[in-house]
Amino acid sequence: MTRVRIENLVRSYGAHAVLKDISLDIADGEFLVLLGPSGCGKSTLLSAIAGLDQVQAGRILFDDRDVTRLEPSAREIGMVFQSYALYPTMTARANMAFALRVVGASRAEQEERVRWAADLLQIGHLLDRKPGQLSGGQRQRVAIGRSLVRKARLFLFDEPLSNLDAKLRTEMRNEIKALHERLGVTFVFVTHDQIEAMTLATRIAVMDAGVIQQVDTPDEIYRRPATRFVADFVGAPAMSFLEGELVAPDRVRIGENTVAVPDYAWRSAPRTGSVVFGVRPERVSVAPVPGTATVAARLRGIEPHGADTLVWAELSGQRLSARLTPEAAAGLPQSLHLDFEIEGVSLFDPDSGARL
Amino acid sequence: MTPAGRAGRIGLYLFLVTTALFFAIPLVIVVLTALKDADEARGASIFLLPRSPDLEAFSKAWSSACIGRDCNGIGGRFWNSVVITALATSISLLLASLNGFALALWNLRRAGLVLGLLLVGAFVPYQIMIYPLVRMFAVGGIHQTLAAVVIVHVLFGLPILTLIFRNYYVGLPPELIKAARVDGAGFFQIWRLVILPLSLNVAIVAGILSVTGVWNDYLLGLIFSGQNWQPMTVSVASLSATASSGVPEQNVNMAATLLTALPPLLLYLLSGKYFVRGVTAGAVKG
Amino acid sequence: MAITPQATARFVLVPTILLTVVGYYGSILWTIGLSFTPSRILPVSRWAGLDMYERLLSTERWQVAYTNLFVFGGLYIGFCLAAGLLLAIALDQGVKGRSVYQTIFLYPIALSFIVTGLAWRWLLNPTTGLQDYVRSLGFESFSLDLLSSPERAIFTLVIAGVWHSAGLVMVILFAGLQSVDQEIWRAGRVDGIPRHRMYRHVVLPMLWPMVVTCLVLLGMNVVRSYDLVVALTGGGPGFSTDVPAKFIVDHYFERQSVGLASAAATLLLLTVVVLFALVGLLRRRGEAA
Repeated sequence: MTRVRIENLVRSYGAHAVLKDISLDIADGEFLVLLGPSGCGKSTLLSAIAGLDQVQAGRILFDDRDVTRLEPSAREIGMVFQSYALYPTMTARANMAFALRVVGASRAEQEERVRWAADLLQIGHLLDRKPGQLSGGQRQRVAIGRSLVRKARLFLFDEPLSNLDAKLRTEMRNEIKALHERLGVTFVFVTHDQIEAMTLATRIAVMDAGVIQQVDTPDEIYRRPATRFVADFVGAPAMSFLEGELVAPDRVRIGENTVAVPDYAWRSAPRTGSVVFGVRPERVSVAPVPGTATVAARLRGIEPHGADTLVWAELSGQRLSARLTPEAAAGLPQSLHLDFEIEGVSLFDPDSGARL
Repeated sequence: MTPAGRAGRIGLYLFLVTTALFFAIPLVIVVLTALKDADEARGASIFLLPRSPDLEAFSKAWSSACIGRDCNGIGGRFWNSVVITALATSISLLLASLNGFALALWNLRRAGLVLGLLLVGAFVPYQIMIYPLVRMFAVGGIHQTLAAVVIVHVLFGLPILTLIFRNYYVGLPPELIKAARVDGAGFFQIWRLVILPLSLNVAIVAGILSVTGVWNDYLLGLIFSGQNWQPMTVSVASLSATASSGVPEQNVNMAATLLTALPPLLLYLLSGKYFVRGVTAGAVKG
Repeated sequence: MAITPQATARFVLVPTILLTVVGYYGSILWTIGLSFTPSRILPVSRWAGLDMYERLLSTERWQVAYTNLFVFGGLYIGFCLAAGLLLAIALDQGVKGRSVYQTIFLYPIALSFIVTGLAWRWLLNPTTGLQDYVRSLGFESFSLDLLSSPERAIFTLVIAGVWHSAGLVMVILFAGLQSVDQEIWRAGRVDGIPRHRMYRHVVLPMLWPMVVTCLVLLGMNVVRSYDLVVALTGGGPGFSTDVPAKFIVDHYFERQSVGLASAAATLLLLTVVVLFALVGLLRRRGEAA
């Protein structure tokens, strides 16, 4: 049961700043996912929370207790690593009991805790095997089991699923989610996979270049990305971005076309001038005839994805995509009339990338 | 196969067999001579097979050959070498493993500098360091004792052995250490419980290098061991020198030489690939 | 607060650092210092400037020993590399019984230079050794009396040294040859390039780093060559086969000329430094190529 508060963390390697003044609050029992591309600082942040990496400035508090200078072992955490980091010479049982062994816990206590974790993860039959005799998924379970055996107040996961094949990954994802619900403990989970983030998180913190871009529920992150980076990174197929100009509070001109944005939820008072117009592909539709709200575009290509079809179009020299049903995409003419749903539209400042 | 190809093949094997003979002959004649009696060894060609081979020369070399005025053979010196080698090797391996672990996996600042400091020492000829070391041991009151000879062997063995362990540990996943730290293990616990069990192969390689190095050493033994702890290499060299002043007993000399060569030779034949890795290991990044 | 594991790691290195700083660097500086004093049996701290160096350079025995370092070193390294390379290439031709040959070529490396020297001294002994054997075959005028000839005794060191160390070169270069991608050989066959040309122009340049490695290992043996000389020639006849390593030990411990021995040791160190700089250059050139 732990609330984690991170205040103004700074970490740099030489001239290269990896964490730039990071602040973040993680509520008790939350499943927080740190999402970002490789090199964004998410793993460094996790290491800092674990105490495996020393920060140059800032504080980390667990329930108002400053743990910034504490050893990892004193922080009462469980951690699962990308490579699982199982001790190769020990059996699964010895791996799981290791933390209790080094603090001198009794055999009975070790056995009891290992049993409990093994039952939870259904790995009781694997306990006498060494890591080399386990499959990837089994190792993953043992690694999670090892982190459970200690009575941890906080669980940290460093890209734990990225070494698994696609099918196993989905399975383990569900198990981790169930585990979180069952334990009710705070989880912090690092990944670069947005699907993992969306399915697991109660909140996602999207990071880029050592800065947290946005912390919000998966739904908010998707629907109202705070920066152009977030909008671009989250969502597949990706959001389309068009350069335009806000000519009135409810109208954006893109080339020779004008798009109406009547009910856009402005963050601040709208100001005219250049903007980046972003739109989710699934919120773009093709109208059979031109209407008052449609814009003219030319068909540029069609990508069938099975369940749906991605249609590429060109609007005033800029490309955008629309996600349509295969039926709607069949037999499209060269010139299209596109319709944008306002729920799928985001406007950004072209210089700062911030949502308007 | 074409005739030219066949001729090439024959030439190849001819070359290999001739070279193999060149390499084998010295050992062969040492063995032949050691099996002869003294007269036969002195008078007849070294290539002749012994008329009545026996192990007399070995037993004399072991227990009654004269080295200087001491006529107790080299048996005692054999055990000296065993003790020196065992002590120096176990201490060096222990230190080298700890050093390698500390240097490889703890992101210490200036770890590279420490390794460099150590390795530069390894490539400097011993001759420039021995005299001051003698003086230091004399001041410390341990000159020409077991302690002195073991210390110099550890000192000169450490760089290469540390490098071997360090290079191996650098290849281990750093997450292993992180996981153990999260589990609450300290430096020595991680070393003993996680790292040492993984070090068997590298320890064998390093151990072979250390054992052959210490066993085969002559200079350090000569200068630092003193009479009581004189190793076998030193005795066998002075045995040959002694004999040449009186009646040379080449069969005894060669038996003693063979006895000196035997431990590393057996190690070589038994350990195969490990030995090769050991003798070449120092060169990997040197 | 508890001691962090990093602090322990740093602490663990302390004995080694002390041992190195005192044992190596302290000793080296001390020796260099002694080379500027007229010390005889025991060290004295009187400044003698370059006297010892002047005396050393005008000592005939040193001149011989220092020249021998290069004569022996050059021949030993050259023949070891040539023999090792030849053997490695021979074994790379898919020969039967390869591991047996390899075992035979490499076993001398397990032996000490003392054992090597004693065995070869016996083998080269003119009255019962190789010379006698060849004469008994009918070549009455055959002469292989290297050991008693001041001009030629140095070659016995080369022969015994090459016998001892060629296997090491072979094993290192053979590993290099084995690691050459088979596709390269296939590409060469497709292009119709003869095998010996492939070796010369394609494969050998790839082995360059390993050759430099061998050079370093063999060079260390040359600089340290004390045992072999003691066991095989004793530095003689006269001091015709003396080497710096032996000169230094003799002058420290038998002839009680600590200052002179220190000057010699300092010059030897200087030589090693220069040679290492050259090896560094070779290595860089190999990387550039």
